[in-house]
Amino acid sequence: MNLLNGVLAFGALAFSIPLVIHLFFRSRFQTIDWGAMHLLQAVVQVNRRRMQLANLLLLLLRCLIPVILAFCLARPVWTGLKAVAGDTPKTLIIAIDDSRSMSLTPQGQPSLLEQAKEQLRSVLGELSRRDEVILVRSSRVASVPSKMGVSEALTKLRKLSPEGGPTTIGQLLEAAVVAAQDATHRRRQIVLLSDFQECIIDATSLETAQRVADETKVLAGQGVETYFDFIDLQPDWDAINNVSVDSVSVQSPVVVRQRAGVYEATIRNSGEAAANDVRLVWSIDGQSLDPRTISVDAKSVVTNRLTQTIDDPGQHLVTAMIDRSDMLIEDNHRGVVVDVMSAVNVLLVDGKPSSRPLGGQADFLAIALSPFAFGGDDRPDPVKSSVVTVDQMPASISEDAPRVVILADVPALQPEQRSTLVDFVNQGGALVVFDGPDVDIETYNATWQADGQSLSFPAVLGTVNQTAQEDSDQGLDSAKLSFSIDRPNPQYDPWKVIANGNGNPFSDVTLNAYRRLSFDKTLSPEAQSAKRVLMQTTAGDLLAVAAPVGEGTIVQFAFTANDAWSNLPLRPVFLPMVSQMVLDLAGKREQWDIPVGQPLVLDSSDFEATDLEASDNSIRWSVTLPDGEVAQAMPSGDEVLRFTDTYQEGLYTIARRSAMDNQTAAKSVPSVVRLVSVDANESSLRGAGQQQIDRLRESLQASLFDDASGLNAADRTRQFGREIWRWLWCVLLVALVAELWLQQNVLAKRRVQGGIR
Amino acid sequence: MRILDFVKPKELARVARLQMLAREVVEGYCTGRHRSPHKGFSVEFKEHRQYVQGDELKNIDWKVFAKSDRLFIRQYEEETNLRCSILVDQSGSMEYGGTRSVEGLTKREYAVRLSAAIAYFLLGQQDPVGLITFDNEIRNQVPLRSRPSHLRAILTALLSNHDRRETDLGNVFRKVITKLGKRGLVVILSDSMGDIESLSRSLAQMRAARHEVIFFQILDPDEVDFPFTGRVQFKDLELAAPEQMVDARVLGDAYRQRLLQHNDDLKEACRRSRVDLVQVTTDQPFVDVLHEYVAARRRLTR
Repeated sequence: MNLLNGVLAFGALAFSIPLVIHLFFRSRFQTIDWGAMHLLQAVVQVNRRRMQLANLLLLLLRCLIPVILAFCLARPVWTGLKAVAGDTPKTLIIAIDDSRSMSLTPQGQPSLLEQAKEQLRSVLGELSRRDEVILVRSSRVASVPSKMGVSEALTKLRKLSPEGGPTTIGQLLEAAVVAAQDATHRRRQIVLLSDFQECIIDATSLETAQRVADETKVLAGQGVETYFDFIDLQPDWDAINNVSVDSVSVQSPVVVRQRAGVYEATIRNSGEAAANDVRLVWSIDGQSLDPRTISVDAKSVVTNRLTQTIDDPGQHLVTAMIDRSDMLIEDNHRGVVVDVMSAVNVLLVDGKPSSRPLGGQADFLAIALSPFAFGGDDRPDPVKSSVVTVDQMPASISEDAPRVVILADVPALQPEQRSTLVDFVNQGGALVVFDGPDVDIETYNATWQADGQSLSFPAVLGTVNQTAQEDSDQGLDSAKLSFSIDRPNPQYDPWKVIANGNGNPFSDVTLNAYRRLSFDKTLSPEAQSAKRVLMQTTAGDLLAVAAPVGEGTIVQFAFTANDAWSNLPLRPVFLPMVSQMVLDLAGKREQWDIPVGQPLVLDSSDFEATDLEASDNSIRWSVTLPDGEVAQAMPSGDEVLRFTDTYQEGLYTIARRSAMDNQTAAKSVPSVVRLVSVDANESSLRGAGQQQIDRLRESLQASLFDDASGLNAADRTRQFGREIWRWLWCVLLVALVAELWLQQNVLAKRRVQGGIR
Repeated sequence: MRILDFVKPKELARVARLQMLAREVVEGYCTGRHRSPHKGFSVEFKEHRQYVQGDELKNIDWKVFAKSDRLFIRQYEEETNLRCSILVDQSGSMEYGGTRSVEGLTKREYAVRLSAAIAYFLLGQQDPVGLITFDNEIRNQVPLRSRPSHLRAILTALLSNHDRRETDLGNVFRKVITKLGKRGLVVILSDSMGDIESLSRSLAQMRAARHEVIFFQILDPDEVDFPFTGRVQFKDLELAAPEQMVDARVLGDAYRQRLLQHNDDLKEACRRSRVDLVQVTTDQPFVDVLHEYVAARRRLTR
């Protein structure tokens, strides 16, 4: 309990006035020797207690009235049992959710972020000059926030834009608490402003909140007072009207120039009403294609495919944009960076070359991978294959930089050849191995080691399983006596094109012999589960197995690439099967898309080999931001560039040039692009339930406010205590009325009626 | 010590005119075994009745027999001597005297004067008069005598020392009954401050002993209307009880109510025992009170 006008509390001494009057009158009396005490005594006994009580009550009330009046005037503030902070300065940590969903603009209102800014301006307006502010943005939880004054905070607030991705409340709280550790003052107020979208409150957030609350308690023991306030900016989620492009993806495993690539956009309608006749515009590198019209039902998702040819190799941006005004305009477009290749280099290593037509082990593969070239067609093949011998392989790998190397019945490999392959696969290359009668089992069952890297094949090679008829030379085409191949693994995307409805594409394939493949049971469950069976016999024996090794992939076939063990190469299904698989393996699964706020990491390998052979010191990196601004960046050792200022959505162009190359700025310089985009979850406009928010609030003992005025009032109460003069006025009024009533109704009535009841 | 010390000559003259009449026949000295010394003087004709066998022949009215040839007996109303015992309350509560009483008398002084007047008046009729003063015990007792000089003894007893003791009428009266002897007139002068229940029983006993009882309840006007206001400290005249500091104005009504109740109880007690109750306030001239009472008794007798 504190008094704002403490001096006036001395007015409470006025309680002595009625007391003195009472005592004064008490001392004035006359004495009478009384005879009829017999009668008087009975009356006095009956009335004395009641009278004394009533009189005492009246006296108390009369004493109380000046006391309450004095307290009213002294403006008491109720502080509970705690000591209040009073004027001690505080650190205000503003933890603001500046994700994209905050740009939601409800009908007839400013956007949520603008509302948040408005509230914050009001909160900041309450601060004194000694207070400090730390601004923690959900889009930049990883960066170290700085301390600032109120005016600087207001300036920063003005520049705030909603461009972040989804950051959970837990992460934001943690960042705020970490920021609070740098606070100058021991009194810290963490104000969290968020729209409390569903995706940002998860179970981890609640656990984090609990942990943060525990830490706060520990800090409280050390005299650091931290308290949490939430400002709830939730819109009316049910009245949302928004259509968003949730994703744009490249469906083709690899996009080759002048060949059609397939792109798919997912469009979601979050609103309660169907969105009809929505204009969808695809564009490539900013060049719009013909607009399409689509309709999306309420609360549903549609996909739209674009099949488009890009002529120039290199990185291209394919975007899908919806032309519609809704509550969240920022999510109406989305893009994807496509690396268009001129051709996929595939190296075919023939373990047993032959001069006969189609006599070599890799001849069928060469035809299957380059059908146009083989047929004399002008059209470009997506794959550029070259057939080499085992001895030529290392040189070809370094020269041609193939994406895929296919070993066809290669018997054994020299150590240097092995190490070349180990390097190739571990750096992201794909290795396909076809079996054959000459294959040296020991070679393939061993683990290949080179420069600290290793390579082991997914399956262990066993003996060759042959039909008995083959031995007795009764012919290959005895369908009854051959092995049959089951349908390909439906989970393997590249072979979906060969799927023949529910039928088996391999039904007309006869398999006379195959190598028994088995998995090494001694491997760890993780290694086991990484392996995929692509093809197997109807009896369940493995025919094709794939497994990731290093950054690359190995696919192992149990049969030959020629028609020695099966007639598969002669079947039409062989061509799409091999080409789709190779394209899939060749497609670099590099992450061109980066979530907003994540650092951009690049090294020299991301650039094609260039003539920049100069020393590291002479190489300059520059990053062109989506808004056209150019930022210089320095690699942080190991020639790896880490660029963290990726808070804007859009295309970032990273160029590498030599320091001596300034005069040739106009010349095209090698550059790569990265697309920074906001997670589609930000367009998932659903609020977390009140229960979740309450749990969060309860674990932090935080107060939830709809606006800043409530927060300011609560903070004033926390700081100075609650002013209770209004209550005291009420008590005073009650006391006055009670005094009057007691005097008029109880005492006066007793006088009239003689007091006996 | 003379009666004039108590009763003024003017009042005394009025007293002398009074006739104290008993409502019932009281057994006197001269009836019974002895003949009356004032035969024919004090015998008053009452009525005739027919002679029946066994009546004394001397009572036959021969004149009537001569006229009517029938035997009638003359009946006379006999006057007897009135044995009067005066019981005077001298307890502490009788010491109260307000400003409005006659000459500022206390209730005790008033009672003394009243009893002196009664004694004088009865002795004047040559009736035997006795006196008992009491508070919570019998303090003085003057035996019944009818000599005029007996007045002095009574007056002396009335003026004897008295302490302020509490009243206990019921107990005292029970003790008094044993000392009253034959039936007679008992005159009680008291403020009746005490337990009415106990008093009621005593009066009943007194009546059972065939005494005629007249109860003079003497109250001060202050006690009747309780005129006090403001803060008053009441000191008990009887006991060294704690003083009562009260707001008199607040208590006034309650007190009057209580007094009314008390008086009603007393009236009821007297009515049940067929005791004559005379309520007197000390602002009334006591001779008037006596006069009014005697007049009332006479009216009743006729």
